[in-house]
Amino acid sequence: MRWGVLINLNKCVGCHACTIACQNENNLPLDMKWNRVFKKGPVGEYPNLTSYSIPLPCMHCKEAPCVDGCPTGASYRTQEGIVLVNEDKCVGCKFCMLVCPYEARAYNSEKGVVEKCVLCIDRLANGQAPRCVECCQLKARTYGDLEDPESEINMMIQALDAKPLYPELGTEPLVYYVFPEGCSNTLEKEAN
Amino acid sequence: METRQEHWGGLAAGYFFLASMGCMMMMILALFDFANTEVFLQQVGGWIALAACILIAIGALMLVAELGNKKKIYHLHKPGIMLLGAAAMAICAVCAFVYATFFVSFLPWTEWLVLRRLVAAVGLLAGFVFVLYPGPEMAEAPGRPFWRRGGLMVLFFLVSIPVGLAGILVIGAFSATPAMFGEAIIINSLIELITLDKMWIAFAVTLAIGCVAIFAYLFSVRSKAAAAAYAVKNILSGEFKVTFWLVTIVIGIAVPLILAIISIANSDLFYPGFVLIASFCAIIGNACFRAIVLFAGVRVVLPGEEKEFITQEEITGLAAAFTEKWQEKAKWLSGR
Repeated sequence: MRWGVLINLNKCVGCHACTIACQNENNLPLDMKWNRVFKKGPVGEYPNLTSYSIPLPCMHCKEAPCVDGCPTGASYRTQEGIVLVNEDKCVGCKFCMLVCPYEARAYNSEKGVVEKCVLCIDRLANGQAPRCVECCQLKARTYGDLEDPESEINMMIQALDAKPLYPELGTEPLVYYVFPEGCSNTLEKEAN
Repeated sequence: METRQEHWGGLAAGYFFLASMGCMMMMILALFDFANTEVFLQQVGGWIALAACILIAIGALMLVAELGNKKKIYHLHKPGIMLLGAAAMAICAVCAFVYATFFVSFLPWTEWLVLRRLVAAVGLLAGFVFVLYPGPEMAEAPGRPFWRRGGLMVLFFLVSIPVGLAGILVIGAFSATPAMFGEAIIINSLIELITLDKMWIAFAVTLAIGCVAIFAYLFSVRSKAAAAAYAVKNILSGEFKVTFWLVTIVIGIAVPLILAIISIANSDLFYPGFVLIASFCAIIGNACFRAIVLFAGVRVVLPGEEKEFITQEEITGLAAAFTEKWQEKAKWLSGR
């Protein structure tokens, strides 16, 4: 069992409902977002311009540098592939924030610990969808078991040619994106 | 998008710099011990070891100060690169302190040469590990291509040598004579002259090598990825240009190098004052360089990162551009 999320950027309109739902679900302060949504574009060449919104939650990487680098073991990966932070062990060294290429972690200065998306692990345990998936009115998000070849998410990954963000970094993210036509997910293209 | 790395600040940079300087001083001291420079060691060996220990301890305190949850520091025991660095630093600091006690005359173990060299050897090894470790630690970040594992290890090692020598030269110069520019150090009997003289030459040579290493690193990483190229540009001609060119290159390398060359060329000009100025300049320049390397390591740009919301001004600007384009089109159509 390995949880994964697919985000179809052709459907996402950047309404930020997932951001707000995540904040509500996890009782986050207003300035802390575990699920940010950015606007990309216009990209392309006139007159074939396009613009899209891209949500950036924690990618729950299989080869997570935050987990490997954590000096206390506070950052860990569950058997289902979800990357979590044990607040009781976190010393707030921010090394995980430094090494995360997706800027998915937030520092809680009041508690002196680092926090992040937990993929609504309690809801998953109760058979419910993560809040960001549930609240998306345009059904841009799908979740499921990446190890089950018959799962809906795997079918969609194949059918829609979904890819993780910046796979060349070698972190093997569990979040997949369906990019709009002509928009690359590679580091070289993005960086240039 | 990130224009500078902001997760680790000045405290982390200070930790890397001070602890590396202390470790390098201990390493050089150990090498002097193995080279049988007993007169030199008896004069300043204890002070150098004590200074190394204090520098490492201050560095460690800066690391602790950087933590958000200091009370839980006892959790820092998971095997990994950070534990390796912390352990190497602690071992080197303890070795430096114990080594210093070998020069306290009333202690019974001052004559135990084998034990002293054993402590020096352990300190040398631990110091070597610590001086190299920031490279692999920073290279753990796959999204920060400016930090390259092998390159940083070599770079940090090479730039640490003149700083370690500078620390020793400062102590040597302070011990030399109260008249900093009145008498050349060569006529002072407090220091074993040949040793300090050679160290002065070594300081100049390693400073030049460090300068070459800095530029070699910057020019080699800038072709690796856009974020690395951005970091190099930020150092050479962007946000960090004044600190880099003025403090690191001019004050930290050029000034001490010129002073060293002048006094090496004419031994009558080998003043303690020259040594002190050159050493302090090198220390300041290196400290700034450490901070620059840490702050310049920006992350890869995430798609659309610079734009979470489209502002009213942007919408207005886009609308104006769109209208202008349509007007051009309309003019072209009416012209046909």
